[in-house]
Amino acid sequence: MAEALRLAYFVTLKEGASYLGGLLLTDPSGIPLDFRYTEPITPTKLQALLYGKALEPHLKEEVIQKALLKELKGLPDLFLLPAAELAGGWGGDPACPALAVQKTQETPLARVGDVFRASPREVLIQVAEGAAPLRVIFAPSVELPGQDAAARKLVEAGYHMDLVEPMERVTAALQSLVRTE
Amino acid sequence: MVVGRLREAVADVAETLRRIFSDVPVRQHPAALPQPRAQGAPRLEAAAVQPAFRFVAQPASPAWRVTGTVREEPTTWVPRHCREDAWDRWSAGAAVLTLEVFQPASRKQLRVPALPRAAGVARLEPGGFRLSLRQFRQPFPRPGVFRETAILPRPRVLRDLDRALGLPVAVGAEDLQRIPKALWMRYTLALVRGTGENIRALEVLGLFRVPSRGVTALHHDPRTGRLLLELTREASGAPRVPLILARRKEDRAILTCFPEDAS
Repeated sequence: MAEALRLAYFVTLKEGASYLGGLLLTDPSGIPLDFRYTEPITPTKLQALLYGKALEPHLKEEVIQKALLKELKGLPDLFLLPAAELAGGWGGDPACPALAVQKTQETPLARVGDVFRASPREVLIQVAEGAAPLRVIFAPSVELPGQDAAARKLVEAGYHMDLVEPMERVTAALQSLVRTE
Repeated sequence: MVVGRLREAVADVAETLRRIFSDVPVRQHPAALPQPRAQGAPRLEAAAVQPAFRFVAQPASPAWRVTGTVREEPTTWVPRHCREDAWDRWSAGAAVLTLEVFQPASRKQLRVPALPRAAGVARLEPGGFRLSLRQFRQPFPRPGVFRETAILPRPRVLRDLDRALGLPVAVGAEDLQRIPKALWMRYTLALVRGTGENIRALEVLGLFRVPSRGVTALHHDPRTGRLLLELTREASGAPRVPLILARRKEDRAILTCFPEDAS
C-alpha cells in the first residue's frame, strides 16, 4: 500500500517586532497529523539595521522554515505556503515541492483532474465537479516534471479536502498563540 | 545521227547533274536587330483636390444665465453732535522754543611749533625666528572593541497538536457521480435500514469520509456543503469511514448513517 500523502502548510506571522512561524502537517483529508510552531524571534535593533531588507526573508526562509522542517519526522510530500510569500520571491528550499494554492473565479475545466498550464510556474487544476479551478503557483526551484507530479498529488488530495482551508487554520492557531502569550 | 543523239543525251545528263549539284540557294535575312523606337511616356500631372468642407469659425458665446439684480439695502444715517477739543489741549500744553543769544568767545593765542630740521633715521634689525619645540607623546587610547553577534538565533520549536485539532476541520463531500453504482445502492440501502425511513422521504446531503475515532462534533455548513469536524488527538491517523448525511423532508431533521457499519 502506498504511503499516504502528507501536506505541510507553512505560515509565518509578524507580531510587532517579533516573528513566529507554524507548520501544520495533514493527511489527504486535511486531518492534522502534527503541528509545530516556533517561539517568537525578536531581532535586536542592530540586527535589524545590519540585515536591512533581507531580515524578513532570511528569518522566514532560513531560520523559521528550517527549524520547523528539522523537527518533522520525514519530509512532507508537498510544502504549501501563502501565495503572497511566493509572489515576494520565495528563496527557501524545503527539499520538497514548494507551492501556493489559490481559489479562482475561472471557468471550470472540462473534467475533474484536468490540469491546465497557464505559465511556466503556474497551473490550474480541477478538483471538484463544476467548481472553479484552483490556481497552483510553484516556487522557482520546482522543475516542470516536479510540477506535474505535484499537480497530480493535489488533484488526488483535493478530491477529499479543501486544499486552501488548512492555511487559515494555521494562521488562526498562530494568532491564538500570540493572544495567549 | 546516233552520235548526235548520244551527244544530246550526254548534254542533258550533264545539265541535269549540274543543276542537282549546283550551290545551295542562299537567302539573305536582315541580321540587325530592330532599332527600338523611343516613345515618351505621358507626363504625370498631379492636381490638388480641395476638400469638400470648409472650416467656419464662429465665436460661441456661452449661454450664461446670470441675472444679477442690485438690491437696495436700507441705509440710515443718524446725526450726532461731536465736539473736538484736541487743538485746545495742544495749545495749552505746548512749550515755546527759546533760542540762546550768541556770546563773544574768549580770545587765546596759539603758538605753532617749528618743524624739525632733519628726520631721524632708526635702524631695526630683523630678528631670527625662534621656534619652541614641545613634546607631546601621549598616545591615543586604544578603542574598546565590542562584539555582538549578527546571527539570528535558531528559535525553539514547540509541538501542540491539540491546538491544531481544536480548530474545526472542513471535510468536503465526495462526488456521488464518481461512486460505483452498486456501492451507492448498497449505501442507500444501509441508509434506509439505519434510519428506518423511506428513501423518498430523505434528501441526501452528501457522502463524507470522516475519521473513525476522535470526532467530538460535526456541523454541516449548508452554504459550502462541507462538514466541519471537531476532533481529538485520536482522530490523527485514524482510518476514514464513509458517513452519509441526509435530511428528512418531513421535518428537515438531519440524519447520519455509517453505511459500512450498518451493512
